Parts: sequence; structure tokens; C-alpha cells
Amino acid sequence: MAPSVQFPGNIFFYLILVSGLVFFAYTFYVRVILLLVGKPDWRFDRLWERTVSFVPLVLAIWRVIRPRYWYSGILHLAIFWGFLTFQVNTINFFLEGFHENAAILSWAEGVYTAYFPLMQLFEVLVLVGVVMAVARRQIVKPPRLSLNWDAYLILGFIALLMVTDLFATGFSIAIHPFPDHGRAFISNAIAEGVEGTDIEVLKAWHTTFWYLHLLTFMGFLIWVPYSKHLHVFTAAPNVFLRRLQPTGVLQPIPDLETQEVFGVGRIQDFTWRQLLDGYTCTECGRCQEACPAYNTEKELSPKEIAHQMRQQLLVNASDLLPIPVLNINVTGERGVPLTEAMGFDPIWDCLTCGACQYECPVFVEHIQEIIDVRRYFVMDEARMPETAQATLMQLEQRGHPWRGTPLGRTSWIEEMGDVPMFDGSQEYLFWVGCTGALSERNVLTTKAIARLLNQAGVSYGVLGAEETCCGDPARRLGNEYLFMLQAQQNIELFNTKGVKKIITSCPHGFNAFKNEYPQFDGHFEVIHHADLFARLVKEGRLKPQETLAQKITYHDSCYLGRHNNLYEAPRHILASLPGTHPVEMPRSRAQSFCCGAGGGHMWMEESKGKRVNNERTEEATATGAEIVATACPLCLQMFEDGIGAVPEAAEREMKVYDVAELLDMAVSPAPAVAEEAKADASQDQAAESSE
Amino acid sequence: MHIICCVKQVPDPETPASQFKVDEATKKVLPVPGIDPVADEYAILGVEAALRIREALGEAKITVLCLGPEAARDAVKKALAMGADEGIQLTDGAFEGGDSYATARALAAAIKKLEPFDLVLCGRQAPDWDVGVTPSIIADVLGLPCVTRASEVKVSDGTLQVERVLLDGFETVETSLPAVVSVSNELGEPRYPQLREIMAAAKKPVAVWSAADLGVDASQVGAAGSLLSLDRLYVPVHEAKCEFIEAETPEEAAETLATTLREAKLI
Amino acid sequence: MANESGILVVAEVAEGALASISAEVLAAARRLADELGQPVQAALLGQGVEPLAQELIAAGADKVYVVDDAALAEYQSDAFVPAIEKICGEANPSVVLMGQTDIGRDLAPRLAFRLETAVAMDCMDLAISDGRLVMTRPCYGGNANAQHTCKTMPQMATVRIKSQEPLAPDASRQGEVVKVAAGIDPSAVRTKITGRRKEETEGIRLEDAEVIVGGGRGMGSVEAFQTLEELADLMKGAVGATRAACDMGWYPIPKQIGLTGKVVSPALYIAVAISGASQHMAGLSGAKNIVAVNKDPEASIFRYCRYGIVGDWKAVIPPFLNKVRQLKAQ
Ligand SMILES: Cc1cc2nc3c(=O)[nH]c(=O)nc-3n(C[C@H](O)[C@H](O)[C@H](O)COP(=O)(O)OP(=O)(O)OC[C@H]3O[C@@H](n4cnc5c(N)ncnc54)[C@H](O)[C@@H]3O)c2cc1C
Ligand SMILES: Cc1cc2nc3c(=O)[nH]c(=O)nc-3n(C[C@H](O)[C@H](O)[C@H](O)COP(=O)(O)OP(=O)(O)OC[C@H]3O[C@@H](n4cnc5c(N)ncnc54)[C@H](O)[C@@H]3O)c2cc1C
Ligand code: SF4
Ligand code: SF4
Repeated sequence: MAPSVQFPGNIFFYLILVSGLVFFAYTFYVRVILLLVGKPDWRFDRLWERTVSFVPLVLAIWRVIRPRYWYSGILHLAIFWGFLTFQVNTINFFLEGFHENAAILSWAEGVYTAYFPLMQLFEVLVLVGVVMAVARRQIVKPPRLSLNWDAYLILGFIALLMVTDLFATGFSIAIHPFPDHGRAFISNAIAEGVEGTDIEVLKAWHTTFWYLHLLTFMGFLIWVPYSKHLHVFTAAPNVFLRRLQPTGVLQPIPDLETQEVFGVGRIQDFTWRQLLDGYTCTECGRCQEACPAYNTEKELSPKEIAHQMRQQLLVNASDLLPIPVLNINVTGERGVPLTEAMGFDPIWDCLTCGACQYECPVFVEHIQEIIDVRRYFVMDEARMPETAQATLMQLEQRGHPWRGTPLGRTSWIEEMGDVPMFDGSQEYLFWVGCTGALSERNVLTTKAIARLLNQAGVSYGVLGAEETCCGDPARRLGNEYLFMLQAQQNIELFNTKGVKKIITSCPHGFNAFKNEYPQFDGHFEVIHHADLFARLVKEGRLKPQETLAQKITYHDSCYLGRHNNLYEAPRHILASLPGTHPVEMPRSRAQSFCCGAGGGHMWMEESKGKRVNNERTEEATATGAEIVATACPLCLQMFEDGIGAVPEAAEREMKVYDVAELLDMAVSPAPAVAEEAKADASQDQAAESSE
Repeated sequence: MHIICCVKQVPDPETPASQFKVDEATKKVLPVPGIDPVADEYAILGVEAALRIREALGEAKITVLCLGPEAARDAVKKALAMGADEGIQLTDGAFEGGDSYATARALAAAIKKLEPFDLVLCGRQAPDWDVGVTPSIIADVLGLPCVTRASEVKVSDGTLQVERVLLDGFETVETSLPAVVSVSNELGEPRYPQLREIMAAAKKPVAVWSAADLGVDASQVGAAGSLLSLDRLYVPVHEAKCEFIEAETPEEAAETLATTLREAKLI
Repeated sequence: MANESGILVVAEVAEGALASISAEVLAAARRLADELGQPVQAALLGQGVEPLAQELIAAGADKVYVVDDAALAEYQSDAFVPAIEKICGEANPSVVLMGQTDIGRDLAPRLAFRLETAVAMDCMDLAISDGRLVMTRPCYGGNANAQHTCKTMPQMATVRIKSQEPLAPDASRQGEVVKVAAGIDPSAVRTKITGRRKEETEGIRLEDAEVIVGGGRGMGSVEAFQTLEELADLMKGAVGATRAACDMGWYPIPKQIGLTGKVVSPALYIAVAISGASQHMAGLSGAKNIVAVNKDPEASIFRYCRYGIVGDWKAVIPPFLNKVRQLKAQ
């Protein structure tokens, strides 16, 4: 029998219950209406898909238990499911508190048979999970975790909840054994241990544990909203309401012209769903551990970005809301302007590679949040690193980011001849891209692609001098306005030319056309050359014959792989090359490590820490490969540079090629060589007239 | 305070050399498809200098003045987006084909019409013809003092303080207002316009004036008013390939290189 | 004024001595004057400059007009323009030449305005055709050359530094020295020089340098860059570096040339142990002449070069430096 049922216990019970619940409800209410200071964000589309995926993503916490994080996986599974099951016990506990006959156990005696063994088993599981968690924090101390007292407090609450319940039940058995009490195997053992003690003493112990349990529960409930463990409430909705588009997509700013603030300069400029990300971040640090910027000693940590979202929202709560707000500040951080809290350098360090988002178990959407702040820096304050500014000015003025290039858009066409211009009669538009046309190294890839298209008899044409930038660098560098203009201009051009299908060689253009132009009502069928050539090889329209006999490792471009799920096609091409021996880098496919060029960084100076491309080149070198293959012009550039800087790679004369170049060598080796010589000759001409 | 900034539109100076072509018959540079003309970067620095003065004084009206064809509107817009207040375009067939003198005379007439003004800012040289005389002539036509190649321009108590760039250093010069100043790249980077300004620029007024509006005689401006005649415009030819210096020993090669460079007047 | 005759050279004085440009311009004037059968006159302005007149004669002048006045101690266009205008009034030249220097750039257009004529700036080449002066000057950042003639008299040009070979000084040459009273009205000088400072930074700015020596990853050490600095100093140029070299800490990052560094436009770029990656070359699109030393004959830098040496820089640069020093001393 619960002690609260008798006077004066019931007064204490109701007092504790009501005050605890009221406090919790108010804090929770504040948290909810705080979300509503954010901007609107429609996340209720494709409900069926959301519901179906709820099972693996939330109930099976599938993202938490990735193989790499098996230990956390186990401990979270134990605590998550244990705690969830334990809530039946909590309900029972409160029912019992109101009236003993209300408790589940009194409904039917048979319940005992199943209830106790199950409950006590899960309680043990939770305790095991807690011990594992404490052990990890005490012994392993993974650098990705923030090792503060908040975690111990919460773990303590959880453990205490279990322990007090086990003991309360134990003493209850000792006082008044109920049927089949032996099945409550732990509590029964406790009861047996205290056998023979005076009944009044037993009752006092029972009351003590009972109230301790009650207080622990209320304490937990009150504390959680102040702690990073708010995620126990918000993770499920956050996952359910995640963005279902590819992670590489950035959102447009609706009615850009009439905005009061461009981008996010204050916490309330985020959308409510972004603010929910702040609540939900568990500070597990997996994003940080995968982040190429963080891993090369830059100032950015995606975890810190998520953390600051919550922190700045809560610290500024009283300014944002017309009602009184109680602040309990766990980390002691003070309210500062959002841009300062996020930090200028960190915001500019991001490569938009998406490694963070792939790892995050609760679907925090870092990239959009970081770019939103970048947008503010660029469009509102016009404040940005010198090289970012130079790139944007270059884009605005010249429609491409390659300042100082000795080439024109049509230089490669003039050199190669035999390139059809798109006039609406062909099936595909081959979008060459700024890098493919204007960077000397990448022109070789462009020519290889054109040769292969010719060889396979694909019906295509190019735009030549009419091509301009797809806008990707502008968007990633935070100039949404410029991106919008570029996108609108290109869409209009495509529509007037009658473009339906587009082949791109740059994954950034691919992503922009495929996933982002629909935001501006541009709908085209877009295919990346790796995908197309893999298909043509399968169909036998391209036949690789020449033996390359090299060890090749493929580097996944973020915008092709992680952001667009294209992993197999380039590998298929490599596998089709006679005599090659593909090897994988430790970080590959979805876990690939950025080359360092994303997010506009191809054109920005990287002045801190280790260069991302050197880190990645070292990884490629360690595989022993003679060739690094990519399917992205920017990755290609980054490896060209990295190979020079990594001594072992330079000594071994490691080479980097686009998969199209390798395929071209295997399909038509002779012209490839001839072309290169021809390219040399025409570059001589270019050099000559530039003198 | 009223500042007038003269901004010219020029063919993109970063046009790849391989694309740069001249029509020798008409003595004109051929436009390159896909490469649009840009605002003269030095003149844009003049706008930057004007904005800095406005920030320092708290108040100043900045007018942008551009002589050129209709399409030169983009250059005016660029200056307006940076923060200038209004634009004036001098567009008239009569202005075409002028040399620096004829152009400066037209600009000076427009500046006169914009009176009262306190300061005229120009670039040190337009990156197309690379002449750099327009500012001095404007000053002379208007009878004003002129300071060229400024790296810093300040106004206090009605006087102008300018730091000028010399080959081996800087000198500071003081003069009374109104005056004409041309600025050099040492002034620093021009600002990146805020989006708000870019959008506001679309609504700022740009007036178009003809020779008649200025009250200048057509024979004074454009080709008719020019003092220099352009007899030929051509792309110089260079040796086609890299000439490798071959020699028995590296020392010999080095010495041959030094003499060759000396002969080519490069050192 | 009709019947103009003679070529007037405006001489330049720097720190009490004739500036080297004066002899260069005089040499050009001599050549043109001989062709026209006209005399070469020189204008010498400044304070205490009279003794330099003889040097001008030795360098090719037939007649030197000297204005020696305290108001001309420092260059100020408002003082110099009327003084030279006065000389022109006496000499009545058909051609006026001066150097494309700090002073020339400022003075030439203002003088031209006073003389109601035009000036062609920064000429590389001067020639006579049908008795008129044909002035050739580079424009469009060196991409094109323009040839001008002047419709009015006198015909005026400024001459690019180092574009003309000075004559060997001939002390035995005879000439006339004419003193002209300045009569400068101090109130006409509207500008006042309030201070002057030499550039404190080490040498010339990359962006302004006419000669740049660039070093790359093949240099191998900080010390190696000192050799390059020595070479650059000798040629009154500056040293730049590739990102690879800056990354290694061999040279300061502000001296990086390229896509994410400085954009430069020297008349001569000497690339030492640089492969010629496109990101580096992006900063060099304005370079007029590129010379490279690289041990790899296949290095792409050679595609941009006018002259190249295949070899180890350690074997090439020191003798090159000695030879340049020797040539300079001549
Ligand atoms: C003989 C000759 C013939 C020419 N023929 C032609 C021709 O047929 N067609 C043609 O288009 N050009 C022609 N030009 C070029 C034309 O003279 C110049 O574009 C113009 O005179 C500006 O002079 P500049 O380039 O010398 O400017 P600079 O003196 O180098 O310019 C310095 C500054 O003056 C200001 N400025 C100069 N020009 C303008 C302008 N137009 N509007 C506003 N501000 C300005 C800017 O602030 C600039 O930074 C010719 C030039 C010469 C010498
Ligand atoms: C986003 C991005 C931006 C970049 N921005 C820039 C930039 O602004 N500026 C820049 O310079 N680079 C930039 N780079 C780097 C560029 O790609 C090249 O990696 C870099 O320019 C190479 O420098 P290097 O020529 O010194 O080195 P390397 O390419 O390693 O070349 C060294 C050369 O020295 C030669 N050599 C070696 N030893 C000797 C010897 N003893 N004697 C003679 N020759 C020798 C070798 O044959 C080789 O050709 C950028 C790269 C990226 C990815
Ligand atoms: S997108 Fe990449 S660089 Fe940016 S925060 Fe995420 S992991 Fe780091
Ligand atoms: S954002 Fe996601 S991955 Fe990063 S710390 Fe928070 S919960 Fe973990």
C-alpha cells in the first residue's frame, strides 16, 4: 500500500505532484511558445512516408546504433527501451498514489506474472545502460562529448528512479507479500535481505523510498527541459518533422525583396523547426567527429552550432516572450548577439559537406542553419572573408568564379572542334560548367566527356558562350539573391532553348539543377556523367578495352554521394576498366571525407589548421593506390593540389583523374593522347598572346 | 557636402588575352561574347572614397557621373548599389569617339551643371586606355586644384587632405575645396554592397543628359573635339613558344638569360 | 604660335641629381631631332639645379633652359606648369617630351592643357613620319598598342621608364645654357605638401612592382628566399611566392600570388621552382613577360614563358644574380 493514501501523506503527495506538474507544464509551455517565435516552416508533407520511417528511425533508434557507435547504441537501446517500458510502472505508481485499488496490479492478480519480471528486467537494463554511460564518461572520455555535470545529474536521476523503485517494491514485499512476489526477482531479493526487521522500520523504509521515487521523478521532469536531455521529449517530433529532401538542398528565402532581415541575424530569424533542432541536439558530438572542418583544426564545430541554437534561445527567452521565464543556465553562457554566439569564422569554415547531417541521430539540419547565418553576414552586413568577397564579386561581374582564367567558355570547343551546339533538336544539353570550361586541368575532363558522348552516339549539344554559372557557389557563399538571379536566368534560357534533359559533369551544378531549380519552377531531368557513362557501359555502347592495370581508389564527392546518393555508378565504371584494381579508402561512400572544396571553399583561402585536401590526400595515399578517381571537377583540383603537398603522394607520382578520363583512356586511348598534345599546343598559343 | 564621382564603363580588363581581339579597320576592340563590360575599378574606388568621407562627416550627397553608351547604365548602378545617391549618364552620339580631352570637357560641363559641388573624385586611370589624364583636365577646365593618385582622402573644416602615392612612399597634400582628386588602388578594397542597397539602387534616379543638355557645342566633344588622333590599334605579336636557353653549363645558361633579358630591356 | 621647332625635354631632378629617366628621354629626343634636323632643348627646374645643366648637354641637349627658384624645390604642379609654360613660350618647341614618372604623370596633362594641346601618355616608342611625331603606347593592360598623332602643336608625349636606351655621356659636347626667371606667383600654388614618408614596408608592393621574382615549393627553405630577395632588390622589384611556398612558412602569406592571393601585373615575372598551377597563374594574367627556371622540362609554367631554363635553381640563380649585378654596374 502506497504511503500517500493515508493522511498526512496524501497532502504531501498531492502537493509534490501538483507543484511538480505545474512547474513542468509551465517550463514546457515556455519551450513550446518559444519555438513559435521562429518563422513558419511547413513540415507536414508526405505524412505516410514520415509515419513509416518513424518505426526504424525513432522506435528502433536506427541512427543511434550505427556500427561505429555500437557502445552508445547498446547503452541507448537499453536506456531508451527500458525507460519507455518503465513508464508503465510510473503510471502504476501514480495510480497507486491516488488509491490502491486504482493500480494496475490490483485490476487482476494475473498481471503480476508478466508485469514484474518484465519491469524488473528493464529496470536492470536501464541501470546497465547508466553504468555503461558513466563508465564511458569516466574512462573512455570520447572527445566528442561535452563532459559536464548535467549528464551526471540526469544519469543520477535515472539510476535513482530505478533504485528507489526496486527498493520501494522490495520493502513493500517485506511488509506485505503479494501473490507471486517471487517473480519480482530483484525486489524479492531485497525483501529477503531485510527479513525479520521490525515492521515499523520496514514501513519507514518503504515510505522513504516511495517518496524518494516520487521526488526523483518530479525532479527529473522539472530538470529535463533545462538540460540537453530535453531530447527525450523532442527527438521523436524532430525526426518525424525532418526535411525529406536531399541534404544538399538549401531553401530559398520567400519574398526576398520584402524581408526585414536577410538570413538569420537573430535567434528568432530561424524557423521553428530549426529551433526545435536546438532543443533536440543531444550533444553526442557525432557531427563534430565527422566534420572535416573540425577535424582539421578549424573553429567550426557543428555540435556547437546546434548547442548555441538552444542556448541563445533560452538565454534570451525573457526578451522574446511577454511572460516571465525562469532561467537556469547549465553552461553559464550569456546572451550575446547570435552572430557572435555562432562566430564569424566558424560560420565561414563550413564546407556544406553534410557529414554532420549524415551522422546526426536526431536529424539536426546544420547546413541550412549555418548558411542562414552566412546569408545574414553577406546580404545584411556585407561582412565576409576577403576571398569569399572576391569570389562573389567575380561571380556577379563575370558570371563565373574563376578569376584570372586564361580561357574563355568556348576555348575548349575551338580546340576540339566536333562539338555540337545545343539547338533544341538534341536529346541532352551537356552543361560544361564553369570549372569544366575555364580551368585548364578540367578542360581535359570536359574533352574526355565530349569524346565519350560522341563515341557512344549520344544526342547532345552545348551552350558555349551562352553558359554562365549555375549559381551554386553564390548560394553556398550566402548570396541567395545572386543565386536566385542566376537560377532564374538559366531556367529562362533552358526553357527558350527547349532543354528537357541535362548532363552535368559537376556535382554542384547537378545538385542545383536537379534539387534546387524546382524551387524556381525549373523542372529538368538531370543526369551526372558518371551515371550516364555507367549506363552506356552496361548497355555496351562504350567498350573499355585498353588495360590500365592500376590500383585505383575512388573519392566520393559530397554533392554526388552523400547529398545525392550516387555511389555505385562511378564504381561501376572503374570496375569495368580492364585490369584495374579498385581499393576503398577507410572513409568512403556516405562516410566520405570532403575534399575541401565545398561551400565555396574552392575559391577561399584556408588559413587555419591543416588543409582538408591534404588530410584527404593522405588517406588516399595510404591505400597504396596509384590513381585517385573522382567524378567532380573541384575534387580533382583539390587532389591535384594535395598530391603536390603530401610528400609520399608526390614521390609516388600519384595521379588524379575523373572517371570519364579513365574511361576515355580505356575506350579510345589513341585520341586521348593526341588531344592532350593538341591542348598543349593551343595553350601555347594562349600563353603566347597573353604575353 | 556634394561629391561627384566620375565612373567609366570599360571592357573587362580581365578578358583572357587569348580572347582579346581588335578590329584594326575600325580601330575598335571587339566585344567578347559572354564577357560583359565592367565598371572601371579605380573609379569604383573613387566611390568608395566618397562613401568613407560621407561616413566620416555624417552627411554628403554623392552623384555618379558616367559618359558612355546606354549600356553603361550598369556601371552607374554598381556605384548606386554601393551607396551613391543619384546617377547622371552622358549619352549622346556627339560624345562618341572622343579622346581624353573631349571626354573631360564633356564631364566638366556636366559637373558645372551640377553646381554647387565640393569634390570631384575619379580613378587614377581607366583600365582600358590606361591614360590617366581625365581628372587633371577636368580640374583645369573648371579651374580647380587637382591631386592625383590618392591613397586616402579626408575632408575636415572645409579643407581637403590627401595622401598621394609616390614611387617610393607617400606624401600628404592639403588644398581648398572644391577640388578634383583621382584615387589609386592603395586606397583599399571597395565595399561589397549590402543587399538592401542593391535593391534600393534599382529605385534611385538616373538622368540621361545629351550634349544639348550640357550646352556644349558638338564640335567641342567626341571625335570632333579630340586633339589626339588614333591612327592604329593593334595586338602586338610575340614569339610563339617558350625559348629554352640551352647551354653547356647552368652558369652559361644563366648568363645568357641575363644578357637576353637585358637586350629585351626587361632588366 | 607658328613655326615651332626643336624638341623640348623636361628634365627631372631627384635628390639633387638628374633622374635617370632624363637621359633616357634625351636620347629619344636626340634621335628624333636628328631626323627632323632640329635642336634638342631641355628644361631644368628646381632649386640649386644649375650645375646639372652641363650633364644634360653631355646626355644630348643642345640648349638648356634653367629655372632656379626656391618655389620649385619640391614638385607642385601649380608651380611647375607656369614655369615650363614660360620656357615653351621662349623655345617654341614642336615636340615636348618627359618621363612617365610621378612628376610626368601629373605635370604632362596640365601643361598640355595650358599649351592648348594634347599629350600621349606612357609611350614605348616614338618615331617621325611625314614630319609628325608618331607615338605608340600600350593600352588595354598591355593587350593592345595604340598609335597616335597629335592634331595640335606642340606634340607632347611622356616616355615609359626604361623604354629608351640612354646615350653614353659625352662631356665634350657643347651647348647653351639659358637662365629663365620663374616669376612664380606663390598665391597660384593652391596645394600644400604637408608631409612625406618613404614606404616603410620592405620594398615595393607586389601590385606595383615592374619586376617580380616568384619562388615555389622547389625552393626548399626560408634561406633560399633570401637569394630571391637579393635578386629582386637588384632589379628594384619584389618577391612573391606560390601558396605551396607560403604554406611551408618560407615566405609571408601576404606575398602569395594567385587565385586566393595577390593579382599582379609586372613587366617581368621570374618564376623559380614553380610548377605553374592554374591557381597560381590566375594571379599573373597581367604579367607581360614570364621567365622560368624549373628542373622539370614538362612543368606547365613553361607554357606561359617567353624564356626558360631547365635546371636546378641552385645552379642557375646565383650566376644569374652575378651577371645581372655586372650588367647593372655597367
Ligand atoms: C585618340 C583616342 C581615340 C579614342 N577613340 C575612342 C573611340 O573611338 N571610342 C571610345 O569609346 N573611346 C575612344 N577613346 C577612349 C576615350 O578617349 C576614353 O575612354 C575617355 O576619353 C576617358 O579617358 P581615359 O581612358 O584616358 O581615362 P583616364 O584619364 O584614364 O581616366 C581616369 C578617370 O577619369 C574618369 N573617367 C574617364 N572617362 C570617363 C567617362 N567616360 N565617364 C566617367 N568618368 C570617366 C574615371 O574616373 C577614370 O577612372 C579614344 C582615346 C584616344 C586617346
Ligand atoms: C582553392 C585553392 C586555391 C589556391 N590558390 C592559390 C594561390 O592563390 N596561389 C598559388 O600559388 N597557389 C594556389 N593554390 C595552389 C596551387 O594549386 C598549387 O598547388 C601551387 O601553386 C603549387 O605551388 P608550387 O608551384 O610552388 O609547387 P609545386 O607544384 O610542387 O611545384 C614545384 C616545382 O618546383 C620544381 N622544382 C623542385 N625542385 C627544384 C629545383 N631544385 N630547381 C628547380 N625547380 C625545382 C618542380 O619541378 C615543380 O615544378 C590554390 C589551390 C587551391 C586548391
Ligand atoms: S557540412 Fe561538413 S563542414 Fe559543415 S558543419 Fe557539417 S560536417 Fe562540418
Ligand atoms: S547535432 Fe546531432 S550529431 Fe551533433 S551533437 Fe547534436 S545530436 Fe549529436
